[in-house]
Amino acid sequence: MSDIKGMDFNYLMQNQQKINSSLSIQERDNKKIIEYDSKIVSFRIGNQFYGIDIMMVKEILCEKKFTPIPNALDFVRGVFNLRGEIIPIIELSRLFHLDVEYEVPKEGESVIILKVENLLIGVIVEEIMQVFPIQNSNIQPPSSLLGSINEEYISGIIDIEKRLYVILDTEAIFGNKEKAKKEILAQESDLAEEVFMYFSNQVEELGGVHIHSVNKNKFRKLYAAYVKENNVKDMPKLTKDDADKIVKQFYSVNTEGFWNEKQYSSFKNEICPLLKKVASSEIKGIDIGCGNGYESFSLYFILQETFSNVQLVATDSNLGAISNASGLEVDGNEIPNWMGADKNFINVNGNRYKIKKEINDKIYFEFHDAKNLSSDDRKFQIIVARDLSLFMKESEYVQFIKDVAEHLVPNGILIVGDSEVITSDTFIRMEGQDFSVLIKK
Amino acid sequence: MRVEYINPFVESAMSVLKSTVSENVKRGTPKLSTSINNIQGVAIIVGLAGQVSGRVVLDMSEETALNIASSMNGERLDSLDELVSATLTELGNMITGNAVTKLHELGFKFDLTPPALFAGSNLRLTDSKVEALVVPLELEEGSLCINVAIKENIYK
Repeated sequence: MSDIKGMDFNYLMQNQQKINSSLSIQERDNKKIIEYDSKIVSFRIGNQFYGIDIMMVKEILCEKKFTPIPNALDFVRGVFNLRGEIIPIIELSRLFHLDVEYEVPKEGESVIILKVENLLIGVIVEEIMQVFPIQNSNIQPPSSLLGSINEEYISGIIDIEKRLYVILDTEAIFGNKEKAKKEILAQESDLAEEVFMYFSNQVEELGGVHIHSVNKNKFRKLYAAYVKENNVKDMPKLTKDDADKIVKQFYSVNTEGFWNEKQYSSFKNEICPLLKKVASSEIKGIDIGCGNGYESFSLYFILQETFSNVQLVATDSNLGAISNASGLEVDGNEIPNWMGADKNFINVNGNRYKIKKEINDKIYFEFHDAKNLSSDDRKFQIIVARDLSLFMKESEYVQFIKDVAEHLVPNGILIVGDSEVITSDTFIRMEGQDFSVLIKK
Repeated sequence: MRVEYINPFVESAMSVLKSTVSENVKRGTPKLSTSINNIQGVAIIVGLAGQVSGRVVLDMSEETALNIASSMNGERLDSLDELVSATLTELGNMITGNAVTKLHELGFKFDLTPPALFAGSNLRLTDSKVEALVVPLELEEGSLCINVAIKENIYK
């Protein structure tokens, strides 16, 4: 570890010195007065110069060794351990089919670590140059005649000191992998897509779930992990157990257990302040698809710390699960510290604890099908509906989200599953730490 | 519908039918529905009021209705006359009354409205603003459905 850090530092120092020496004092002073909108990190591949918005760059380093991944796409060099975080390393020249051969410097290759939608990706370039402040008005739109890199992955071209820099749109390239893969590697991805479809159909059938645009991304990742783990070469063949295991991995954290300390503090610090804006002392909430009730009680205990009058409805369309949820009984070690085992539970025998009746009575457990939400006319400040997309077809889920919006007060909060991506004009997405939070407009 | 309400209705329907009609009653899987339900021919409706508002519908074909009424009276009845109507409304009253008694014991306060019987072909039941619990029951006399829809009055 310390080696990498040391190298890192030296490399940056050298680079900075190079940059500094290339600019005369006067130029440097001039730079200070320039008003700029953003900065780009510039780099070179072959004879061409490129730039990336500095806000997308996490860090820059120099590295020789990458761990190759068998069977990976040809532009993936491997993975790299960045202080404990494993990040994929992509060779930009190959990704863009630039057909450039260059010598790898002795001290290692230049890697720019990008942060795209919470994901870290490392890209290898030939040489990292310098950071330029730029004015957005100077960026010229890309021309479709550019060729080698697809137009839509370029934010524009800028002329700095008589050199043209192509500014790459990293979000477009790496953000939406599906799209990027399709465009850049049309042939390979078509086949991959077919295999993925084959895989997801089996998961749907054996696991009894629905896979569609809301949850597909996560299943793609689970598919990749499955292929890697089982070393699948051709069409995957799943058993019911495989499918169940995959579906289980989709579920949000602690679906079958009380929320942990981290989730507790995340909810308390991020979501409760938002709820305070829409509710005074009284709050109404509904937990749709509460399953065995762990989620409902977790939610109830957190809310009652902030609000004096919590009215919570918990629903599920599984009669067995919802019947168990009312009067929940758990093992003592399942109860997290923040929840207070002694205060809220009664020890029934040995290590078994049952929720106190007066608390159980505060939550309305209802046998209800989320698809029939429109038949309800209650309004809520908070709706928790994690991972429901698994149990509905895409069209049903779209309708469900509309129904949810109907049942929320303005600025009300909707919490969906960790891996669910909701695109709706009615909601604003908030980046939560442990929850996917949507705020109704 | 609240979980606590489900069992009293299902159990009471089972026990009343067992004691008054025939020993052999099978229960199907409970379902939830909001859409239009076709009524098989005869419907007995009992309204619920008080802490909640709602209704219980017993739905069966005319043939089943006559079979059930015959069994309850101990004689063969062949047309939907006054006796059959009185018998069937009483059945509805017993099932709902029984369930409401059980709910009273659990601390819920419900009142009943007098039962009514509807008969005819092509009857449809719609209630889009409340989700109904539908439990199919299978008897020797034929099959019937118990359809319960309850809405909380508090907590709006």
